[in-house]
Amino acid sequence: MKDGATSIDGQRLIPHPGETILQAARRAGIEIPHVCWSEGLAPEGGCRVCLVEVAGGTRPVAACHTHLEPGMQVRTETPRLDRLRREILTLMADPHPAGAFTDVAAATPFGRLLQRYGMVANGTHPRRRGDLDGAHPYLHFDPSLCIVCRLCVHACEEVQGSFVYGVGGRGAHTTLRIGALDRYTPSACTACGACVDRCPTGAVTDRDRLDRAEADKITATVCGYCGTGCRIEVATRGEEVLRVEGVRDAAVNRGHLCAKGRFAHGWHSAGDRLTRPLLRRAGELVPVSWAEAIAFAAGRLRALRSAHGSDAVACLTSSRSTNEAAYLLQKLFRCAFGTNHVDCCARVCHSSTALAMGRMTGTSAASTSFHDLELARCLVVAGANPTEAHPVVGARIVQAVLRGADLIVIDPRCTALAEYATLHLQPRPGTNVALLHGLAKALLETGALDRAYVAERTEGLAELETFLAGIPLADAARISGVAETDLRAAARILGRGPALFVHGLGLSEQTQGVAAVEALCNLALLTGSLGRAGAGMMPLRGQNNVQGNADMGAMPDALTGYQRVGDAEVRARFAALWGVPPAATPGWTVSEMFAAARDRRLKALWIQGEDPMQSHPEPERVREALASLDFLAVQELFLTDTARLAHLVLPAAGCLEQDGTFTNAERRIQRVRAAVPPPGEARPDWQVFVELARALGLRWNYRHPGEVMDEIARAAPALFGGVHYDRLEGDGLLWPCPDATHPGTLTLHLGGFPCGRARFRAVPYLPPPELDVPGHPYTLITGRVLQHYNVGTMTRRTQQLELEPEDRLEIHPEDARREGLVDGGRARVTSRTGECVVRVRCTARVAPGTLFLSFHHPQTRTNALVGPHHDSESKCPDYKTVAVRLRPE
Amino acid sequence: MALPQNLVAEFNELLTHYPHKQAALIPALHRCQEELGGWISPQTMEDCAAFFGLEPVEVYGVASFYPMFRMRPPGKHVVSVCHNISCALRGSDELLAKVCEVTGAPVHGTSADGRFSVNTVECQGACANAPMFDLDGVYHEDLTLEKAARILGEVK
Ligand code: SF4
Ligand code: SF4
Ligand code: FES
Ligand code: FES
Repeated sequence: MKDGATSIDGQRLIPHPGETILQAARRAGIEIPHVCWSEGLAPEGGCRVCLVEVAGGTRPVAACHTHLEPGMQVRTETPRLDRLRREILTLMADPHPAGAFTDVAAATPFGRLLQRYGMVANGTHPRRRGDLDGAHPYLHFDPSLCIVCRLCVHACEEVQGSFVYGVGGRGAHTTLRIGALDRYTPSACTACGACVDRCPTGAVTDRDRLDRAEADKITATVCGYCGTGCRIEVATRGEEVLRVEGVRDAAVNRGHLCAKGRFAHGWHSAGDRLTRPLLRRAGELVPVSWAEAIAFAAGRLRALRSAHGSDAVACLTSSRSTNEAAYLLQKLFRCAFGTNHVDCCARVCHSSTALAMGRMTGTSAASTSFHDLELARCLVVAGANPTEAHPVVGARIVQAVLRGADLIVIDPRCTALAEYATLHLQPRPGTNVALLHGLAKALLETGALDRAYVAERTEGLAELETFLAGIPLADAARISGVAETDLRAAARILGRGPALFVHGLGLSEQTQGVAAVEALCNLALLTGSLGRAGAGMMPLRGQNNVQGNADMGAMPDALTGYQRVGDAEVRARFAALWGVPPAATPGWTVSEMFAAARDRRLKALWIQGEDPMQSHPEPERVREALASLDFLAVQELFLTDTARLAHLVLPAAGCLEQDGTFTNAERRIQRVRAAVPPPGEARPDWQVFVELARALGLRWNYRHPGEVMDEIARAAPALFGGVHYDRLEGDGLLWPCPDATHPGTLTLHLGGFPCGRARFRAVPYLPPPELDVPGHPYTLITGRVLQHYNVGTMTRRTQQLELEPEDRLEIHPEDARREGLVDGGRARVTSRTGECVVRVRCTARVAPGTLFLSFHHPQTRTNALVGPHHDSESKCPDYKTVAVRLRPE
Repeated sequence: MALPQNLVAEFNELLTHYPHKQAALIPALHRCQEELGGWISPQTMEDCAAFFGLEPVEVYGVASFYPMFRMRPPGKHVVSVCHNISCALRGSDELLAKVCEVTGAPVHGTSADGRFSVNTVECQGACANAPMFDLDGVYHEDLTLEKAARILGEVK
């Protein structure tokens, strides 16, 4: 038989190595019935429904885990197979209540399979809907529908990496077990919904899928929460969002989502959405028409500009909105008012990264794509907690480690990834620079640097060596609190070859943020990691479109595509495109804007979708700045603390309600589409900018965001020249994409750096001003938790609130005991800047002496604790090292 | 909570007999059952999971698979009635019914007064003297219904 042609049901086929009969059949368009197999998961091989006959074989074989060998002639439908399948399906279905799978659950794969064979469950038990686990806001388990196929077990382990499910008992009494206590809470469950996505019977289901409501429209778009940029499909009925699914073949997420992306869509229909423009009259915000709002805004901006000059007006673009909107807003302020006072929230997150990487390698963005996570031999995760802040990236990292990649975690907290790490280096907060220099030194000592790469592609090694020679490893160990042996062990792992360096705000939001990212970049260069597939640097951008905002030119010193305002040739090209030359002097950063507002030099500020009252340090100083303005306009979904201070509040369309593009943390530009209309009179930001521009006398005629993208392509052809909406279906394009035939760029710097050679840089470690402050024995780190998103405006209006109702202060149990604090009790936290009262969570996730607090709830006022310190170059505030003291409340 | 020191010491020694840590789980669970209340409590599962680098639910999976591990606290005395072939041929069904009647415990359950738990087991290697049961670790063989009732009646 071996020499005959390979075929399935008579259809000839060339076998692919490693491909199973079931996969090959699917490739040929033949669907072999199956229950316990699902695309992308390891075959369970338990149900035997996928049996097929191979010519010459004596017994049928399971197609899901038998490889298609050359010469095999496979039959997928024979009378014997039909009989076997019926027997198996009868055994599976019978113990279940009558009609269990074919009544309400007819839409499930298992229900459809039974229907295809004309079978029904005929068990005598009534359906026990009462067994639904009602204790979780989203997830439900109905044991009467569970056939113990174990697909949920596989999904939880192989997609999410959470190991929640187990199987108990044996034989006919085998049952699915949800965690040790048979409950989703408490368990390791992250509510990602991957199990629901794979359950073939609806036994594991959720709030949005329980009643399987019929959708009248499915919209392909991108999740609007974090910088991962997962592709989603939104099922809607009229204006109601029914459910969100991950796109199975999406490059970013392969069908996976986190709880925020999958379930936290309720904000869109929250009762307190802004639906009409609000104008302050006699101290009150009162509803007005759009015509009035736009006329008022144009009038005020024009008047303040002409009375006080171009320095009197400024704008902040929104990292939550689209590229097209950000591009138009910066263009509007630059063209109409001749100002470069344009910034965005990237200033308070990855500005240090942008500066450091830009100056060392010529590009500030990630050099890699998420695809590289799968190729990486070694991952270094520094100052980032992706399983919570970028959950789908986190899940991909966990899977890479489970497949055998080395993982070095550098974090003062014992994050979930630290538990998977080959090595967890746990520095004292604020000592990254000392630690990373120590690592570089240990690496040089092992001699295992990539000499050929360093010689060919970098400069400044000699200076780096001299610099590091002056730093005893013992000092690095003492300052960072990481043992010398651990530094050496990490250096040995790094010495084995290129690594993928993933970093987050734990590195950049520090007084030495730039220096820390530079020190990390040194390691990437010494190991020859930049410009190689499966290696490089991947700063995890926080918000869905913070990368895009910077790309679009929402920066005081750069125009679209990072082209410097100081460059006359650049300005000339923009003058030709815009009809107005941009100003030559760099504008103010956001903190400089606030300072100028307090000095009454800045008169008018336009804030597109941002809440600095909650997200910036020193909220009282922010309030003072905003209250000093003669004109503050805020575009928002809700009346935030910042919006409450505005003269004009414009109701905005959210991410589910507008068209455009987002650019994720790997430089991938993806299409965003409106799934539902915005509520009331709320409008997409880009439309507002077009109207405002017209009211200011500019002749803007964009009819669709796609036309804006065409202009962006002309404005920065080196990066976006080939980007056009026609090409953004599916997985979009990763910039640079300079022309219409260019496929986009997965890995940067393959052929060299834009700056020629990358340059090592190293500055000495300086202790942060908030470390070892007398009378303030604890160091507080602020950050995010899995359940909420940033200032929480959206997630707090969803059932995420049930999963995590408030910000909690994480404290080591020993410290808690010493301070007389108990788990669940309240503590007063006092810094040199402010204080707040929060509920305590005792956990060994933080080291003794270190605390952690999230900033998702306005009433917590976490950022009131954060002082005025920032990186002197990037101006990024230090949110990660705050000296505090504690007492029980 | 964590495993008591003596068990930790034993388990560390146990590990040296196996190629993988997890392989020592079954003998360890036996010891836990002996030492920690006669059953595999949720706390035991959690502690063993931590010791053996598993998830608690995986320990549950192993413990619940094997009938010799009890997933509920047992009564003061445990009667394990063999129901394999030799014993079955020699009347273990009637014996089991008698044991349940005398002790007041259902099969795989515990009597209301908490004195007895009754369960069935596979062949105990005492076929020559079937039927038999194991009472608190002691075999009683060649049982008749009367003999069984008397033995159980004498238990304090
Ligand atoms: S929701 Fe996610 S984490 Fe929770 S059980 Fe399902 S797959 Fe696992
Ligand atoms: S990982 Fe980020 S982009 Fe993906 S679903 Fe979650 S919040 Fe959305
Ligand atoms: S699908 Fe192949 S054994 Fe279940
Ligand atoms: S069958 Fe009962 S002891 Fe062997």
